[in-house]
Amino acid sequence: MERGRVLEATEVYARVREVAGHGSDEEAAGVVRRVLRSLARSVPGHLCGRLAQGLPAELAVELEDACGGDPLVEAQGFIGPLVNVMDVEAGYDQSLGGLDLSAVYADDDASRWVRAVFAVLKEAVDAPTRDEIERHLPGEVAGWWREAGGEGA
Amino acid sequence: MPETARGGGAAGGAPGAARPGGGGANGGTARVTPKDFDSEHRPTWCPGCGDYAILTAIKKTLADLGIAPHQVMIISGIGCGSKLPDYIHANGFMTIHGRPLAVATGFRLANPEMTVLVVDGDGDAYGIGGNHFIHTCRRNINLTHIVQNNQIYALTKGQYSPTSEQGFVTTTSPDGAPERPVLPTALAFAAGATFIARAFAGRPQHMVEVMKEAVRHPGYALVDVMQPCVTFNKLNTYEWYDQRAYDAAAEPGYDPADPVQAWERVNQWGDRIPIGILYRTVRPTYEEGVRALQRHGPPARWTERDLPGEVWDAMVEAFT
Repeated sequence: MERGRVLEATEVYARVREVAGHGSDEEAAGVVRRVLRSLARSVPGHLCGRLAQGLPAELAVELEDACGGDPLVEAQGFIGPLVNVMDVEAGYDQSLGGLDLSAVYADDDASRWVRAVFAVLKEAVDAPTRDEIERHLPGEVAGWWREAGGEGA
Repeated sequence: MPETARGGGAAGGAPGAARPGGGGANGGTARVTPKDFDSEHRPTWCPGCGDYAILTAIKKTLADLGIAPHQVMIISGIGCGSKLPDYIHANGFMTIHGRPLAVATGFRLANPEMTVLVVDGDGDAYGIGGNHFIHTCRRNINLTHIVQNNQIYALTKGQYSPTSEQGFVTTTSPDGAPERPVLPTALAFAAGATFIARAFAGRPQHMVEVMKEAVRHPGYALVDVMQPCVTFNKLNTYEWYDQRAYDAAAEPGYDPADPVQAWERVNQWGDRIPIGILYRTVRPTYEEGVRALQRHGPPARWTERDLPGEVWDAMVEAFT
């Protein structure tokens, strides 16, 4: 996986939509933007800069503001902005019985969506930058980055 | 070398004096790390919940200040966030709804050597516990109050809370919340709080710096944390807070000790929301005004010699 041409934003959305199974490009665009903002909170500024160079301008802008690399952003904080806009699902509440609103299943979707975005982003940077970004990502999110683009991404 | 924590008020010393010990607050023994606070219990919070960041920030704060698990008491109420004492390896006390500040007051008087944190949500702190909140601000008891303010009752699946925005549609406000929300920072200022701060769960490193200052503060310290509820509050999201939050300390002329500036800051909410230390002053603590503490020391230090025989015997019988 080596760097190619800079994709158009619409191409990024279409690829994420296809892998993550979103209903529309608009939905995929929202996911891409939120993942980029979470990356910007987790990864130091110089890495955001390198990643931005490989992205279309309308996506690169998402990496501008928050760049700083907060080492305390954890996996839950990374996916939080994404889960925040997901539909609440109905699950079976074993403590009280019956159907209950719950977000407990959202992490599976969040993981799948993040990996779909990561698969495209990894193509925007060279291998050393990919490794460096992985080192700054929190816990299991680093694993999603590593695995993204391979099978099951 | 850990940073220095505020004093716990050892028996015989001023309640606001420096914590005893050589190198750090834990007496200069082993270095404290956030991992020392890891619990065997896994949080049951929703994926992405802002409470995770608050838990992490509390562990980091205590470790950075050199406060060991046995030196801290974390008291909570009822709510999603109030489950936190279960998820941290430290002394914990989960009280009934709205009462953690009352319990913490009693605890401080009995054992002022401990660092006391109260952790609860906006419903617990500003709703059912609103009365305790006002009087704890006024009394200036030496404790740190961390409020996980997600602007909704989440544990009970989404009813509007004292801090919900006016017009917010929930299961208990199908036509929109009809009332104006509580602005806790302004209420704390009016009630006489000596340390008022706000943090955002989406900026955990900044939150740690605020919490450290709060724990160091000799008196009541409020840290109101904007904590997104990812499941039941789809209005006040990570993005909503992130777009509005700005660091008060970065503003020109920032002076948290200036009450005129502070009044403006504690009242600001809307398009711009200040985070950081909004107000800070020093006044004698409640503990310093309790003469019995000065005369006899705190109950945690009492021995057989300090009590009438029948009282001591009754206590021994009750607790053994």
